[in-house]
Amino acid sequence: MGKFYSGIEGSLSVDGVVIGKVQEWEFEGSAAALSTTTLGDWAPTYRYGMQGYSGSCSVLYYSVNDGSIEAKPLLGSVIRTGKVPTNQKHRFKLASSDRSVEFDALITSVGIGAEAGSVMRATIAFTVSGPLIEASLGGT
Amino acid sequence: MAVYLGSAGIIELTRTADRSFRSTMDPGDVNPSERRFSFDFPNGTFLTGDRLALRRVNADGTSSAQLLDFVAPSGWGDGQQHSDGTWYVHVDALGGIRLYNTWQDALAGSPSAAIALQAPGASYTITAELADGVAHCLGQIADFSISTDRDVADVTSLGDAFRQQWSGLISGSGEIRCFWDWRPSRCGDVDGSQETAQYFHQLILRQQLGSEFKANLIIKRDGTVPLDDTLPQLASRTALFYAVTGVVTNVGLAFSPGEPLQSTIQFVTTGEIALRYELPSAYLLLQEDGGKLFLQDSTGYVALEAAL
Repeated sequence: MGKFYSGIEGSLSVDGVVIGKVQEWEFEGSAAALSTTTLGDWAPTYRYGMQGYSGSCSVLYYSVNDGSIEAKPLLGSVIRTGKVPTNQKHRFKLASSDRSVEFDALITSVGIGAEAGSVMRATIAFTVSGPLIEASLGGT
Repeated sequence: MAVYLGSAGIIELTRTADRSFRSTMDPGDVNPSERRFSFDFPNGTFLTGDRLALRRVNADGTSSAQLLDFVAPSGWGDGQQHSDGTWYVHVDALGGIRLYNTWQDALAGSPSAAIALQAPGASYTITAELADGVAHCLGQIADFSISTDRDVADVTSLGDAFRQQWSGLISGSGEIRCFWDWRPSRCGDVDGSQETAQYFHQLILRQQLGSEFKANLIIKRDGTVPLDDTLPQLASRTALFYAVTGVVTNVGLAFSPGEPLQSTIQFVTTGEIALRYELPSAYLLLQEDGGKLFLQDSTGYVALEAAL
């Protein structure tokens, strides 16, 4: 019997730890189309080139029992006093029920906002480095 | 089950403002023989009956130790001049101001009852700020309403089956309808102690100091009992009220032949909304004639602590 997937079964984990206060995540994949059109062709032809993936997530700015911010691994990658280590990557797993995508990624931007009358949120953007490790989210 | 009628409700109004106004006092601005002065302020900045705190400051706005010398020493309770003082004002049609010690005298505006003035020695900068006065009942209320609202922020996370909401900011709004009048009449046991609807018509047009007011919106008055009259004596003497600071947002007046003139005043609240219980009068310290004891700065009464 078929089923719909929803945010009720959604989750995001970073470096093996599930982030509890994730409101949404997005994942996007793209593949370059390299033109192989030659003289004499009357319709363009293409071959796949490089594949790339990126995404974003929105988390509530929330402190856990020990006082630390729950999304610290993500926020601290960019919001920090020192230089970001050049080889720093995080292992992401974005899932909904039995479907997921897993990859290593670099955090490319972090935005944190405070607005009167609302809770603080952080928006994090990431870019995947290397191939996907697991990609059942794509239907395979 | 107790049922209360809306006729038990009343509004106590206290004039206030959250901003001050700075200007220059020149010797030519003061007319000691008329006990009248003026300085540069837009029309409608100050309203008759306002309790004004005047302070002499330096040109950069910082506090000055110099005296507010255009007010005669008799204007202060101790008979000595100071660098600041607080008085009720009467503002005439030309923007001239007279100072008074009581609200009723300010409304009456009699030159002979005004505080004596004298010519200042030189020009200097002053600030004028509305000080909270004593609460006066708002007269001829046809009806009023108040509602309190609470914002919510959605904190639903992935994995939640039910929406999660976080309670945020509190706000309020309300509407008052009064029969229009401009001359205060009797409130309780004091003649001329009533605010009128006309005050709100002036308040919404006050540019420099804003249109704020403080109000106690009384749900149950001291002495009110429900229709079945079964309250214990102490409970019947207790008053319940919302204490708010409001900002007037809309004032309307509709004219119709043969119909009474009514003002409709709409407001939103700013800052805290408090729902309070007031001790019955028996717990206020009273004088021999039964009157309440005012504080020297006219901001309240003296009460006794009591276990309820």
